[in-house]
Amino acid sequence: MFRKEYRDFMNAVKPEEALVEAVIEMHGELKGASPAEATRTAITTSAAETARAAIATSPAKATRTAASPARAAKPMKMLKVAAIVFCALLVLSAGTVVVDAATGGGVQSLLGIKDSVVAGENKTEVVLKEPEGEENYGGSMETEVEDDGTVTVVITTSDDAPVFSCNFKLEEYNREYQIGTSLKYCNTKEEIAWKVYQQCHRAFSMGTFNEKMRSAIIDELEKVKKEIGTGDEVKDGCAMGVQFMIDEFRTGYGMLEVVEDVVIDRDDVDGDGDCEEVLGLSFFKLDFQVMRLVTERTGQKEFVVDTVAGIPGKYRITMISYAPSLSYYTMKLD
Amino acid sequence: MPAEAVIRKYSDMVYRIAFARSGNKADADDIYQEVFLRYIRRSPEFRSEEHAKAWFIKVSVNCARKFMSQKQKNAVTVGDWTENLLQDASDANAVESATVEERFLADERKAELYRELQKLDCDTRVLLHLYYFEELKTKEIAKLLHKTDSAVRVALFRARTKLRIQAQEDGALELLSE
Repeated sequence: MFRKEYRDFMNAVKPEEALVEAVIEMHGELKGASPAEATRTAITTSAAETARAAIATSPAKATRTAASPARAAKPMKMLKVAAIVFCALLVLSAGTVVVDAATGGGVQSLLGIKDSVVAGENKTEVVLKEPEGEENYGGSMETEVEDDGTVTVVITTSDDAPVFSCNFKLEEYNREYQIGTSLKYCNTKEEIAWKVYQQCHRAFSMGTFNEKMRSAIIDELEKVKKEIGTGDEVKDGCAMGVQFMIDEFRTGYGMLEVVEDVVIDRDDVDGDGDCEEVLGLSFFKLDFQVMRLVTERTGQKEFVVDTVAGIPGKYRITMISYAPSLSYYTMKLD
Repeated sequence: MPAEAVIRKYSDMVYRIAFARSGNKADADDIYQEVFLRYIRRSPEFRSEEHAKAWFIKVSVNCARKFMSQKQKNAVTVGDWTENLLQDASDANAVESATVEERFLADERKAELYRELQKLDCDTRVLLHLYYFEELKTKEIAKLLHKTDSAVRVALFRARTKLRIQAQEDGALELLSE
């Protein structure tokens, strides 16, 4: 009975056709594009770990734990105000990339940035705009890349939500695509922040970075954050999300290892697109990645860490086997 | 098999795992995207259909776990968002605009099951899904989730027991009987 009920129940769960189409379209666009090859070899970084770190160290932690019932009781308002559906459709034309906002389920184009960018030549313009047109419960993220390498990113939300754009002048650029996210169930600014961060991260994790690029991006994001401002839940949330991204770039906590301009993914350590779970302990992976690198470089196989899965203590970890081509790593935890 | 065909073939499976773990459409959408982005980025070569299926299940489970572990830090409680969904459902009068959750909640029976499932932890929901929907054997699940076969069996037993007790308390025992 349960099996039947459950199967009936889950049979109704399917992705919207627009979402499937968007993914297929994204694949089609990337197929054969040389930048995709570049990013394929680059191991990208993880969103979750870094956001976790950022959250853990941010004042948001305190406010999150103190989120009031009153705040939670206004979901409908937040749905309207904060429902940012990042959904832009990238249309290629000769020499220029134009992004059109779609009403939902479209493909969002974001930047993949190659490491050949020279920081000094980056040109930035940050503009605060008012939303135009009729009331919009969605919002969009739009990107324009002109043939001279000028990239404009415009993120719009709705109502009193912040709207900002920033331009990057890149010597070369590497197009990549991401599809949207929704803030429908975001009831607090921290939740908004997480989603915004996630989108930022998707944009930036597509490429490889060098130190110059990193510092240039930090400057850009600082300006963006300033332009967003503060004063309401949505602005605060968006600003916080951008701050997470800044923290990640600044501290290098997320992209800890920039090895020969390749960013190592803490989750996908072997670069096969999978995200390895070591002993099922996600916090452990932070240490694991470092350990793996140390093992590779020095041969050291035993480590002592003071936190596993967020649980303080003294743990000795022994690297037993490590195979870059496999998804599995064998370690011993005492 | 061409990539488009692969995406179409595994779309529903990936989405259902994402939904089983997250319990809501917005997150399932995000997880779904992440899984296929990984597929697109890496273009893995699959040796067989079984290999492809296992890859997608594993990546889906891992992406969902990663996504939800982060989100958990910020999220409202399950109870809160279930209440939100109920509110949404009562407000939703246009069928085409209803989300997956809203459609469930419009069907009393499904709503009951949905509520009962949401009371389980997300790992358990994924486990149930792989067993009851994907019809994987416990050994296969164990391999995918890096657990032992007996651990999976025990977890399934506990999940069923918990569901039964919950259902009994909520007067929905018929729905969840074996």
